[in-house]
Amino acid sequence: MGRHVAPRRWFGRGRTRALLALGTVFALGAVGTSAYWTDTATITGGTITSGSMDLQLQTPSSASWVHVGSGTSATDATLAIGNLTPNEYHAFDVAARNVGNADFTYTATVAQAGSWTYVNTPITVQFFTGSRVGAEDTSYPIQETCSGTALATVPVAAGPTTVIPSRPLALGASEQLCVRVGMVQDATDTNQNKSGQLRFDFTATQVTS
Amino acid sequence: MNRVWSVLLTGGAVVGSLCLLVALVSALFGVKPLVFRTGSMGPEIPAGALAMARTVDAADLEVGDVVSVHDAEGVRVTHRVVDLQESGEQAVLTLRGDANTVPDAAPYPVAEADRVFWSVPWLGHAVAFLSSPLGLLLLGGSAVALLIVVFRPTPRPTRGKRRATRVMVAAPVAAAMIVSQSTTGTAAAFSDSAAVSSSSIVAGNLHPPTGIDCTGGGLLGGLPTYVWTAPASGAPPLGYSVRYTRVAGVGGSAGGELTVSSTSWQLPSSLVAVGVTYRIEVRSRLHSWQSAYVVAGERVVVTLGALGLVNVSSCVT
Repeated sequence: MGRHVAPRRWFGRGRTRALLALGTVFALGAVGTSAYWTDTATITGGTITSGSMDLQLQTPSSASWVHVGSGTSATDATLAIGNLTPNEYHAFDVAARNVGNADFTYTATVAQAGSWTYVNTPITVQFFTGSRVGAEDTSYPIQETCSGTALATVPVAAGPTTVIPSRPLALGASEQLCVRVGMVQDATDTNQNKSGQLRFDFTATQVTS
Repeated sequence: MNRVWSVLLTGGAVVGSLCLLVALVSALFGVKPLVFRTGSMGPEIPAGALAMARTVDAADLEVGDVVSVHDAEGVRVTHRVVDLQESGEQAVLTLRGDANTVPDAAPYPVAEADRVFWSVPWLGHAVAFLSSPLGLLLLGGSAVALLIVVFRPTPRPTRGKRRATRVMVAAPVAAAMIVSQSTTGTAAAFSDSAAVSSSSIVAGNLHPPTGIDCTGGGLLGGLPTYVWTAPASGAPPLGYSVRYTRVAGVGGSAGGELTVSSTSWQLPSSLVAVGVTYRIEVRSRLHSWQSAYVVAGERVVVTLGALGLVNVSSCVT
C-alpha cells in the first residue's frame, strides 16, 4: 500500500472512506434522534427465547395431569351436576400447570356448550384461587364453597366470558383453582328440568417482557 | 500486513456504506428493524431472527400478512393476520403465530401496523447481544476509540493512510451500534390452549305434593284443615302455595292464593260464608320455581248449622 505515488490516489482512497465513516456517524445521530425508533416498550437487551408453551390442566376426575390438546375439548365426567335447584352451588377443584419452557400468563373463559336449554343465564361460574372446602355436600340445598381469593362471578353466556383474568404462572409452577358452579336464587320457573354443559377455555401466552 | 489492512479497509468501507444506505432508507421510508425474541413465528421466522418491517395503513393489510403491533399492555407482538375486520380507517386484527395452534387471546384494533417484508435468521442474536449491557459497553468503548482515531492529530502526513484505515475498521462497529440502537424487540409470543368441558349441568325438577287430605270440619271439628305430603322425588320444596276457588255460592271470596311454609293449611274464617263451596289446589314452591297444582279430592262446603246459629264447614268429596 505504500507504493502509491500519486497524491490524488491517496486523497481518493483516504478522503472518500473518511467521508463514508463520517456519514455513518451522522446516520447514528439521525437515527438516534428520530422518534421512529423509540416508539416501543422495547426490550432492548431482552433475552431471546425459543421453545413452546404447554398448559396442562387437572380436573376432578383426573388423578394425573392431562394435556388437553390445543383447540380440542375434553369432557370431565365428574365435573357434573344433577338435580340443581336455585341457590345451590357445587365446587370443583381444577389446577393449571406450566410445563412449557418459559413463563406464561393464562386466562380462562367459560361458555355454554352441549345442548343448552337453560333460560336467561341462570347458571353462574366463579373461580377461586383455592380448593373446595370440606367434603362433598350431599344434603339439600347444596352449598359447597371454595377457599382462596374469589374472582368475579360470571353468568354462563352463549359466547366466551372471562372467568380468570390474566394470571402469571412461572415455568414449572402449578396453581390450584376451585370453580363454583351454581344456579342463582332467582332462576325463573322455566329452568326446571333444563340442562347444558360448560366449556372452559384456558389460554396461555408466553411472557415476553 | 498491508494486505490485511487492505482487506479490512475494503470491508470497513463496504459495511460503512451499507450502514449509511440502510440508515437513510430507514429514515426515508420508515423501515423498522425488528428482533424476534420468541419463536412462535417459526419455522419461517425463528427466535433470534432480524426482520425489516414497514408501517402501512390498516386498509392495506391483508390476511396472511405478518404484522407487528402493540398489544393492550404495550408489548410489541409480531404475528400473522388470520382475520381482519375493517371499520373505516381502523381494522381489528386477529393474529396467530405460525407455531401457535390458537390465535392470540385478544384482537388488536389498529389504525396502522408494521408489516414485515424481509427477515433473516440469527442476526437478531447479534443485535440482541449488542443491546445487552456488555454489548453496550463494547459499543461505547468502540465509539470512543473511533472518535479518538478520527480526531487524533497526526504527526506526519504519511500516517494519514493508517488513520483512514483505522476509521474504516471502526466503521462496522458504528454500523452495528446504529442497528442495535434502532432495532425493536418484538415478541412473537407462544401460546397454548387447553379446554375442558363439564358433563351435563342438569337442573332439578319440582314435583307437586301428594296425598292431600282434608280433616276436621263438621259441627264439632272446627274449620277444615288440609294436610299433604312433600313430593317423594325431585327437589325438596321450600314451601307451598294453596289456591282456593269458589265454585258455588256467593260471599266469602271468589278465590285467591296463599303461601304456606308447612305441609298443612287450615281454612281461614274469612272465607266462610253460607252456601259457598271452595275447590282447593296445592303446589310446591322453591324460590321462583313452582310445581304443577294438585287438586284436592275434597272440597269445602259451608252450610248453615242445624241450630241455625253457626256456619258449618265440611270436607266433601
